[in-house]
Amino acid sequence: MALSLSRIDDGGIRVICAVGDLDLSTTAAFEEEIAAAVATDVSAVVVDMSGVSFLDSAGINALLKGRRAADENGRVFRVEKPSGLVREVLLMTGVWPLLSGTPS
Amino acid sequence: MTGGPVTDDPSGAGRYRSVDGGRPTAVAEKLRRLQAVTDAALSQLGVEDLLDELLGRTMDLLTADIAAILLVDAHGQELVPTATRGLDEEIRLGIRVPMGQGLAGRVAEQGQPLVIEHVDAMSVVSPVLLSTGVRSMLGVPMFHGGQVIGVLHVGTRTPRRFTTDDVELLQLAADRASLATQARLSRLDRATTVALQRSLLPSRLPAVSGIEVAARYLPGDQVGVGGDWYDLFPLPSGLVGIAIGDVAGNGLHAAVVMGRIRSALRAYALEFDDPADVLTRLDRKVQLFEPGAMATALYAVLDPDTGALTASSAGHLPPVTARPDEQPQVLTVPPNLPLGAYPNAPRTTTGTVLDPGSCLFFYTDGLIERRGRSLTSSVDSLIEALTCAPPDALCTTAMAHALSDQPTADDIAVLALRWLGPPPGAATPAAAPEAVGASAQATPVRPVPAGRQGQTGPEPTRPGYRGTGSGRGSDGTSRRRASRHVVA
Repeated sequence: MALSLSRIDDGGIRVICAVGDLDLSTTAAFEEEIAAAVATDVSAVVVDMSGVSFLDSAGINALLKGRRAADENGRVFRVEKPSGLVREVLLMTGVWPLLSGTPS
Repeated sequence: MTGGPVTDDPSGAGRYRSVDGGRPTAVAEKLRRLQAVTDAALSQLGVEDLLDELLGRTMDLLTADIAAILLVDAHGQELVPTATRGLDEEIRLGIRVPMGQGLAGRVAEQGQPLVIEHVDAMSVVSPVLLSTGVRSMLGVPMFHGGQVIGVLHVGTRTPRRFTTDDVELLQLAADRASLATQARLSRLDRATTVALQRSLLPSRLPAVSGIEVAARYLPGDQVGVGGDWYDLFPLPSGLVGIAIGDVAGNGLHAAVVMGRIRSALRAYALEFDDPADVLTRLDRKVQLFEPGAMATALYAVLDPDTGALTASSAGHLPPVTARPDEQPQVLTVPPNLPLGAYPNAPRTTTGTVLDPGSCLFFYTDGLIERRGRSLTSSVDSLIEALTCAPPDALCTTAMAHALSDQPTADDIAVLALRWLGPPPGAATPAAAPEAVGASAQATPVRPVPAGRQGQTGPEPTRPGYRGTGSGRGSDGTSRRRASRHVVA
């Protein structure tokens, strides 16, 4: 399954809604979207994961790259609303505290 | 070559032009012949021979004096002569043509055929090419997946005006060359990756006194060889290091990064006993030297004298542990960030003490991860399938369980071990749980039963045990502690 991306700008916050699979085959487009977002003058970039049904290690790496890119540009980066398997993967790989913005 | 007006002209000069437009059947004959030759060659010749044969035929058909295939290098910066006719020095001298420069460089950059009717030092890069006295040249791009992967060019020592038919014919030859080259590259890539993986993942792990161990690696159905690895090594302190991990991505690059991570982990393991210390250093190394890479890893240190086990997880799935004749369970090792994830990630070590005869099972996500199924239920199902058994059988059971379900897209690495118990005559130190507290952040995985502290003395029977080994003295425990204090 492919990944579709849409964006909403709301009060200085860019929300990227990802729907589909975030895996090796779709991370390039996702990384571009994040890079574009952190380069704008928004204060925060939020990735809404509620529509993501599969996440592999390449997808996790893409999220982490997003966090690092946001740091470099002085933007807040937050991943929100992962569900089911995606949430489990984020928890089991230890990246959830960093990506959700909740201190571990 | 058969006779006819097209091939009768011994000088060759301009003969092809003479058929341009006037002898379409001759052109069709040439195309057909070229195709037939390359198709037959594809099935019978190695790629090098095929490219050479292709160049020979192309020269013949276009009555050219030189011909060469140059391939774009891995960095996309330069073209490297790979097969030549009449230009052998180019390969021997290691000539490189920068992208955008010379005929080949410009063809590669623009992705379009290019003709030079009057060759001079300005229009070509290679001195070898100039020295052949070439006067006119035609180059066409070689494509794969929409990308220029190389250039095929021909040249003549007499001035020549190349026709559109010439361009088409050469492009056809270039397409044949692309297919063959790409097949060779991906075959080389695969072969190299498999060779690398094999050399890094020995099917036989070193024999360590007091431990039985087995491991398996299986490439994925879809991704082939990936970045999974396992490792087990005795340390000079008498402790045993056990590692498993997974580099994100697949193919040769992931395997190369895996090799470097595995090797660096061993180096840090020599310096530090605390798994969190080892992974902290390893993480720093990955951040600096493998930018953009990410890997999960679990590193554990087992004391074969006492069964004390410490472990730290960089985002890796938790191992499974089982006492003899008991249902296996997950050994909770709280996951810290994967390697390469984020600078200065805090890392923790968790400890437990194994009972004699207990099994430990490490695996990568390929074993349990299936689209549309929760990880928890996959781990539960794995645990139900496993029993504490000789490690070889344990690995087999786990693989069979994973593969009975559905073919795995991802690669799989598993490592199973069984701790046989303390060596004969060695007292189980009452302070074994101290290992649990080796790290300030340590969390006991499984509370050590109160009775355990008094459980001393050797296992009565340990057929696999061969006494102390690995250069360790009988008092391996105290030596281990000494080294821990050195690094603390």
